[in-house]
Amino acid sequence: MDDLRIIELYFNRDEQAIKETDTKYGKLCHSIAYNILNNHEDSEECVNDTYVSVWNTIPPTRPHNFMSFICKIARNLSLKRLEFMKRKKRSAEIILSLDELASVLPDERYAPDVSDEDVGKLISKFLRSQEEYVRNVFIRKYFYFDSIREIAKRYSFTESKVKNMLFYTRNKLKDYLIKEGVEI
Amino acid sequence: MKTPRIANAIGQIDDDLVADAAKCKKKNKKHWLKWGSLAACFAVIVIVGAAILPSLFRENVTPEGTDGRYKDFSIQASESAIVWPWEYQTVYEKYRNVEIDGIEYHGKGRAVSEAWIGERIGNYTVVGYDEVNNGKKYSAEFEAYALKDIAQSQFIAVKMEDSYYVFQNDEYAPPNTLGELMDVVNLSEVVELQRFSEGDNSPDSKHFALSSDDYVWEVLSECRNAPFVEDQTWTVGDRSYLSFTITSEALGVYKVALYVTEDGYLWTNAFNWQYLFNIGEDAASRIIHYAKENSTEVEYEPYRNSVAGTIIEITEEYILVDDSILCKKPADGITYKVLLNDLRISRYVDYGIVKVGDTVQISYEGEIDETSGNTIAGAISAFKATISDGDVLISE
Repeated sequence: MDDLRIIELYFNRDEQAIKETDTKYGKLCHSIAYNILNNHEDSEECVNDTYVSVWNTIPPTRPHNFMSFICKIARNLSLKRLEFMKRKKRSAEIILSLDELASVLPDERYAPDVSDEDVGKLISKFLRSQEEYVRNVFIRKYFYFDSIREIAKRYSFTESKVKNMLFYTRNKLKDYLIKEGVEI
Repeated sequence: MKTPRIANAIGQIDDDLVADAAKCKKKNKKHWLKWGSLAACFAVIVIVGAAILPSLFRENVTPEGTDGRYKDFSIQASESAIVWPWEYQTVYEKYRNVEIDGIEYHGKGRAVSEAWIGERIGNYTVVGYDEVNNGKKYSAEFEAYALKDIAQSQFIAVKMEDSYYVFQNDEYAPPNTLGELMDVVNLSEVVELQRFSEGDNSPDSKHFALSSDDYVWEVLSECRNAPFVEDQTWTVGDRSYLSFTITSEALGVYKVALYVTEDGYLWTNAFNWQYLFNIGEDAASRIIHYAKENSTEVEYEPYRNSVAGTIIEITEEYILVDDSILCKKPADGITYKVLLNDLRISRYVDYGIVKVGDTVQISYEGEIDETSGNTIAGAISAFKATISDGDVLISE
């Protein structure tokens, strides 16, 4: 079913909307959640929470890009759960490390007057100035949280090339944000 | 630890960027080369946990009585991502692009033996870019050849300095069916399906060696109509599958993957881009069943072998690397003789990246010759490493 029709189902408050969403994007959402949480049970719960959130948001929201919309929700909920699990030390299996990102923009103490949304806009602008595959590798890693290995496979790069590319892009992004007035 | 702010901000990037990365399929290697110029001469630090070291170092603990001689440690080594100055590059790293009859081919950087070489196509200008000097263009003329069992429109070989190197058509133009792929690449000849694992090819999976792949190709030859699936979001995910490891001289690939999933997919990254065919559950189950019945369990094989230790001597022909620093008893240390027989390794010495006294990690292909002083003839990189023993950093 195409996305516009699924969105119509949400507007009609038809529960079939969730079934159609699951059929079309369930795996994608699960893979994002699993990349972050490394645990099927928690990932499944996050995916279900994602559907609830979508149900509660549409209407009134009418997303232009339904796939990105749902991916963002799944990602956001999974990151929150990851934080919760780390706090509760329920994270023996967790392997996702966000440390490498921390040096780019660590926490709210930095640039408190700029919203995450605005930083997101700057990141988008920065990414658009990059070569397409550099941009996609970055997004696969830090939006979808694919492993280096998966990214290397997807683009037929060696793993070291991917690591190197990410390392470079992170540093460049940090410089860009500083140049744009984000105080880091 | 709190989620870094940047991770949350990345969640706010524009929708079209998120969607593009989900479906993106094409990479342009020329662009990659441009990127290389910016990355000139730096290396990334990677931490290799102690837990995976037994596999990483599996090959070098074979001399008698040396098993278990290593203490627990972790190692941090810089990775092989240096963009070398032009004069330190091998000829096949320098010259990567050639156009023949309107088709652009890109060098895979891997040699192919003469047995695979077919008819001579002619002399062509092959182009290379010096990334350290703002992409300065170089060109040189080389002989191009067809490869046996592969259509010239897909792959060719270029003869440089007496060796042949594989070049591949750079355009994304996937076949419509598995049969179409078989028409341009005689898969059963150029690909040997030998090692495979149940699920992902990781140290924790079970690994097998297939006694013969004839039956697998027989089944696949019946799947000529299997359609190509254009789905860049496809991942193997939770499927049950076998992962074959493929090294093919003619295709210029080293340890890439080919999956056969229980739900009927054949996936491989051996052709630069994802190739995915729906061969059907029946064919897949016959292949999986056959492979399981006709194989023997083998040990995990790391992607590339390596040894680590301290450089104790450098001559014009070799470097000596002693691994006592890793041993519970220093007396158990082994000295490896790493031959500087290839520019890929000698440049690390010539360019001053490693010197006597450094702790290094040497990656190599092939075997260690234990009969002649633990000689490593196939070394391809030497990076400085920092070894930590528990929490204590041992100085380099």
